[in-house]
Amino acid sequence: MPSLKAIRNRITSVKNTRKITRAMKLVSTAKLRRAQDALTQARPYTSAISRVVSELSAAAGTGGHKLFEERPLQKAMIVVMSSDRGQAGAFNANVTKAVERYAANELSAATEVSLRIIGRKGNQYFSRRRATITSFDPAPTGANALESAREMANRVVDDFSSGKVDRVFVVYNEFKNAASQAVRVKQVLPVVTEETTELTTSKDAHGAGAGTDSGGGDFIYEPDKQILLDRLVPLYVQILLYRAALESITSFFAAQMTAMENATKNAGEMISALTLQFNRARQAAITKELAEIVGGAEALKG
Amino acid sequence: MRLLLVTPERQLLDTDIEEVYAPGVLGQFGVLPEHVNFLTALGTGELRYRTKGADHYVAVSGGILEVLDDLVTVLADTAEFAAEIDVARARQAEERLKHALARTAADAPESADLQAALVRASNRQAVGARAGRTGAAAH
Repeated sequence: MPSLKAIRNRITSVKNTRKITRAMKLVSTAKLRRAQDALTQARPYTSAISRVVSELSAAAGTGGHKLFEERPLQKAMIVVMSSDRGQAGAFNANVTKAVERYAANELSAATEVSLRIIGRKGNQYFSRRRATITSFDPAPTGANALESAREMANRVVDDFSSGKVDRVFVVYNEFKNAASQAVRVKQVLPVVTEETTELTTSKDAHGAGAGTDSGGGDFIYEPDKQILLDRLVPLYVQILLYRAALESITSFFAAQMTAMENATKNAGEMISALTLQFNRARQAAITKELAEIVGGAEALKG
Repeated sequence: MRLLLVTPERQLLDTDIEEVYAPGVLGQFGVLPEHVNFLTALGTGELRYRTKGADHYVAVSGGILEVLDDLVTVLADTAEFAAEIDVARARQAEERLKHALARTAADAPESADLQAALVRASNRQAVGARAGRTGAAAH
């Protein structure tokens, strides 16, 4: 049985740890609120741009832009959204596992899978496993998320247009609510608009007539379709990555908040267990001392 | 007619309007109700919309404007209500950029960026100056 002093020291130490985890929980709660705000604010833009891009691509046809070009899958690239810091439960492990699983299953036909990593944790994991890492950037904060998404978009668009890669994906944690995040894999290039797939299915359902009013020819394009596509499609790639970054940032704080809440709770449980142990040990020491005194007194009487 | 004005960072407007004038890459243009479906690229300039008989001004730069049925969607790279712009600071920024531009050679690679930044700064300054005269948007 550990000494009284040792138990007391442990209790102090666990109490200090609990102070830290509690503070971290409060910090991530506040940051989560801000990140969630940014995510909600970005939503109208992202949904509007997907709608416009899909309308325009429907009008121009899939041959309308070089970033729509579907090539046989040989070299794939994955943009990995992880975080710089840990203490967020399985946040980073979920992403890295999903990347490995996707590379092993869906991309098993590819001759090469290279990674562009965002966030130190992802970089640590994959450099230890000697994966092909094309680039590494620290995780963005809410303030520079747009800027860094822009840069990343330019790089992957270059990689794709120059033929260095045939397919680009992004893997990130999607924010569902404060208690749950889900890993998502999305194709970035060639560009597939979410609504295009919906559009074709609804066309199938209602016959050819349904699609004509939205994708129809009564649209005026200024200066012309091609220039608009050249402007919109790269922008769409940026926004896709921006959205993923925002989802990832928000999920990180949510995961951290949950992890820190659990840690605080566990510390509390540990403290009560240790306090119980401490009181028992103290009681035992008192009993022992009493027994000694009584024993001594008995001996004197005799 | 409805106007939806959004940037990647936020939604500025989703409101009923009577008309809107925007800076297209081919020049300023206006959209009135019953406008034909229309998609165009935006330059840097002043977006003006009229709602309940009052004009409001927004500094925008870059992006896309779409008219689809009775919905005008503006996807701007940046956008600020006139009332949000600190005119004094905008003027300072403009001056700074002018100096920086004067110091760089015309054929330097950063010259084009500076020039574009200067156009945006002048625009912000000009639109910001509108706020005093017209009680800008109710936000």
